[in-house]
Amino acid sequence: MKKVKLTADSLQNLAIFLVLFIIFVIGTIVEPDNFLTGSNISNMMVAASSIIIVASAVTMVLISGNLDLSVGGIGAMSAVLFGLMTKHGVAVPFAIVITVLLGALIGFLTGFIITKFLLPSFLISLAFDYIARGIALIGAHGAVVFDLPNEVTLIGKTINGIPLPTVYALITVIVFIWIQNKTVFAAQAYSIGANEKAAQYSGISRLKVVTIIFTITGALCAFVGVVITSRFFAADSGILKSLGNDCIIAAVLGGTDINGGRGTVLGMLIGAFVVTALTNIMNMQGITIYTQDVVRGIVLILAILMNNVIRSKVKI
Amino acid sequence: MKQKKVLNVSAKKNLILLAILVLMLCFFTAMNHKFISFYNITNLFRQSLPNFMIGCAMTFVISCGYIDLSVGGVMAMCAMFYGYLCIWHVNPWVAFIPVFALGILVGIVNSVLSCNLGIPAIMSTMATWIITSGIAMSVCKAIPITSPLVKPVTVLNSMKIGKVPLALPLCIIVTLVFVFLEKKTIIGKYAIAIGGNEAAARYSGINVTKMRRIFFSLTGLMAAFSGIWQVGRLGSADPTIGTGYEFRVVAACILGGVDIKGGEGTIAGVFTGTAIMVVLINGMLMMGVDSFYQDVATGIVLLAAVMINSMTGNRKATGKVKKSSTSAAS
Amino acid sequence: MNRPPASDQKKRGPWMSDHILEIKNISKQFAGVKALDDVSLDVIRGTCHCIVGENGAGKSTLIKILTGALQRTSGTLIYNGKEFNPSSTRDAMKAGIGCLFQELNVVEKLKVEENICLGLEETKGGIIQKKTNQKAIDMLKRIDETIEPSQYIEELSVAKRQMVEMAKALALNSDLIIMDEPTASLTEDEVERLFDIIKDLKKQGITIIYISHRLEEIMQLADYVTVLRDGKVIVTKPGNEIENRQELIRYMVGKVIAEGYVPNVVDKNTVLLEARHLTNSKLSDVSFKLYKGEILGFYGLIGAGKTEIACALFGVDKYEGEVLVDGKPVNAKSPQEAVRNGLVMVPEERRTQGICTSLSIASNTPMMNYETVSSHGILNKRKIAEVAGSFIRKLAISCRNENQSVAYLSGGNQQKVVLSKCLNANPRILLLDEPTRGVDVGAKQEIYQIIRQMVKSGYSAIVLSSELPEILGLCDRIGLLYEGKIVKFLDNTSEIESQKIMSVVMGGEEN
Repeated sequence: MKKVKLTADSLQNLAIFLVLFIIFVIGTIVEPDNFLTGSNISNMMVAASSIIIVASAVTMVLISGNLDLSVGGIGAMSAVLFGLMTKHGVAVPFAIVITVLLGALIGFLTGFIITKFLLPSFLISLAFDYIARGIALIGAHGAVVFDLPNEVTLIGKTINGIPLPTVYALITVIVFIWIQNKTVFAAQAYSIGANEKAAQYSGISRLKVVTIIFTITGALCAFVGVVITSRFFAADSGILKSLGNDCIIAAVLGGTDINGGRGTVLGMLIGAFVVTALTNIMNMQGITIYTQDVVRGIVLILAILMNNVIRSKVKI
Repeated sequence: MKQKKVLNVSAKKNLILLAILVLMLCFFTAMNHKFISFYNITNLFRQSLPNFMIGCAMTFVISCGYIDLSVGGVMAMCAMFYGYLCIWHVNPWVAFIPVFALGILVGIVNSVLSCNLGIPAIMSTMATWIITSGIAMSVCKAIPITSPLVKPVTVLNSMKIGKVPLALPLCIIVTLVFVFLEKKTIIGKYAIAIGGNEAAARYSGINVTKMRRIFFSLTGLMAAFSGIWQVGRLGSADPTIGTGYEFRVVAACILGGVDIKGGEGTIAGVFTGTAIMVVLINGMLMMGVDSFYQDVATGIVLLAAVMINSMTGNRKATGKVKKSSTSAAS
Repeated sequence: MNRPPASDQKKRGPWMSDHILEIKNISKQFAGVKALDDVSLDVIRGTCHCIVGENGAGKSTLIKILTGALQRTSGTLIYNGKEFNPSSTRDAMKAGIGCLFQELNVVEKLKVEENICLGLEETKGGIIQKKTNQKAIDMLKRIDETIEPSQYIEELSVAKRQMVEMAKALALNSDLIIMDEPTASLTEDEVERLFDIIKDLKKQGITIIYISHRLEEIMQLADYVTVLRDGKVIVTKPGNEIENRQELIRYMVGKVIAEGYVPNVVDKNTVLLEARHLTNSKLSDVSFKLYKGEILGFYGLIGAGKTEIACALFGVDKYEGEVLVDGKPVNAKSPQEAVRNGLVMVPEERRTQGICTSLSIASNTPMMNYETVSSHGILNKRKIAEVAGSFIRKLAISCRNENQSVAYLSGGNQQKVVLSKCLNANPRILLLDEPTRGVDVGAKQEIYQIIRQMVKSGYSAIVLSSELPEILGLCDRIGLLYEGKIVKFLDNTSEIESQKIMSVVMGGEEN
């Protein structure tokens, strides 16, 4: 499909790209010397990486008609477990694998319980969020795990001016754009989100598809936890408290329908940049992170409303 | 004609919960004799008054098919608002009124977002949670207000009626008020009707949006009072007040027999469910278990409760004689 | 229209000679389908006026217009002497029309008395006054003395729930109560009880409009009967002037012209599918064989078990019994399994079960089988466009291109998309549940052609329908269903008599 089609999706992507453009313009106006610098852009990219990595999968979760509120908890749990393992002598690559597998396990349990017992996804994932966060707090005694072996820093370090987290983010988002566009799996996720009954009557297994999506999300959160631990050189049990919200905001800004069946990973990418750029400008303007939260909440509401309006107006 | 007393499904569930509560009380007492002491039990009420109060209000919200995830943020924002009113020399008792108004306002905003603007309740109350906790933190730049002007309200915490701290009779009174609302007013009845069969509720002329506004206003109000209560307990207006409460309250409601899909739930059940959760947490503390296990325990209990509910779930006799014809010509 | 003679009026009492409802020239046009065509009838106060007709006759549409669920295209309604334009069911209820439908309007977790006075409570500042319940109890007593007002609805049987709904209609001061197939899940005793109640209500001056396909009941109950056929009123007659069921059936069915039926080449030696003793909550020992190259039809009234057969075969419903494909037991437990074994189903409800309205034709088409558009799990965009495009051409789907959203296609075209989806799964057996419901005449014929083409290429089909012309136009053999059982099989020959068929599916004796 080479020609650009005027779909609701592409319109939404265009709209959010415009918003991003406007934000960048605002940024250049209010901070003419600081905003468009190489180091600032680099900072923004690193800040965005966690969101981009996890939101790539969360977008798929939303497309399939579900919510995953457990991402922050799993990330924190993974950070702490990874820190503890490496601190006590486990080889770093091995520790990474185990951590990611554990994150995948929690994701798997979440997805399985949701689909097998037909329970609301927000509730089950919220429960697992608290369970995972609790595990993180227990492991780190509510604080931070220090004294990690030096090899840990290799995972997230900056090589030749390019921070590895941004590389991971780039890889993840490219992979997920590809998955979302090109795989049968993603097509099935769209169908399930668009009309669960019709998907069932077409022989699509909701159990299989949704469980896999949640498992992948869990694994990616775990990986993000590892990367953050690497960059801080410490395993902090309090990290990623707003990751869940940020991923949803990024996805929704990018045109993902909160009810499922529609959305793109590319849109999420633009949305993640919008959030990050906005945060960046607010930081430079001295706005506290708390006020930024208020702005985030308002942005979420406006994004959902904007999506609704665009969907109802664009009739193809 | 003598009316047979029929125990419906909800009543049976409540009895089971009561049994579990009693079992837990016995268990924890066995683990630590001090558990059952007068001091500890009454202290439980002091600590968990917000859980009970918000739980009561949340019952109606979940019963009508929605949810309110913003209560934690509202607690924080109202706590800070109260703190500021105090240091602005507003009488610490008169200050209750504007704080209550603020809580109700958030409830109304929640209802507008969910009912009028078509944003799913999960998302809209999550957004208001982000906004209200953000406001709480930003107005004070994360620094609690510890001025002595805030201290008068601590009398709520220390006051006793005879030997019993204020919290206990307050908890009972609020619960009884909610039981009254549930059984004797349209609030309880319509909450179940709207959640159980929204179409039937509409056909009966019930203004569904107005009722939901009321339910959200109640949770907002309870959260506002809880915010002030916590200020009374801490002696300062702390913006981290309320963290995690939405989760605990929802878990207690589910445990107490409220169906997350709506249409079922009793105040009595939620009271017992809250009591069970509170006893569990406190019991663990008395056993010397790290406080970090609390949320893990709450999460596991929630999962277990909701899975058991769905497995033993009463498959509703739909009473459908034939499939509804959604097609035009028939 | 057909006013009863004055002598009948005297029998019923002096206050009951006026018309509570006058339906004048009501027509309802949907895109391409005329559901009601100049329907006129008068309902006399205090009578039980029955409306009968086979499926597709327009009964449901008429009721929906009376209760405000649909808007009429033309014509007038006069209720209690005033022009009546309900825009919602709530409007109709407020005006005094009580609606007792299939979807019971009760709240399970509330008590009986609470349901009856739902929305009608006498309140002071939100507090429900005690006398509210007393009023509810009084209403209930008028209907059924055995129901405890303090019972919860969830404990009551369907019959009792209907009683509660009737009490609710009384509480709303309804003077016209519409009952749509109320006896479908009642026992004989409960039906008798219902009839007693209807008699009582009439004595109290309340009018009943009663829709049912159970002709014996109609004969027992009706003061007046209106027969609808193809959206038109065929006749309105006093109940006591109708001789027997056969007369009603004659009005209902008339002459069925099954155009276009061409016998298929059936290989009676090859059994493609065999069902043995299928039983579940809706089916009773259903057994049949499907031969290669055959179109097998199942005909019956709504609720007779058609959809249940399809859902059992397709793995949506559980059942006891066996299903064999090519002689091998299949017993699909999920649609996935069914599709793997060559079974596909066009479901009964298109919009909620058949298509994803927010997706495009190209996205909907491969949903049952992605292998034609992918390899190793990776989609081939070119193939998707090709496959969708080829179905669009083959099935003559009227659209701009394959990327168009299915939401705005006509019913017929949407159904063709569902068919494309099924055909894309390389099926051997097509299950079609009400395949042309809500489809305009032109598309109907096209869909029939598609089915015939499929069968010619070596597949077999099972068509389940409540439209007799459709069954007679398509199927080689017809199974007649009644209350979950197959009563008999008929070969589709020229000797078939549609009135005899009607009689069988309405519960008459087989002959």
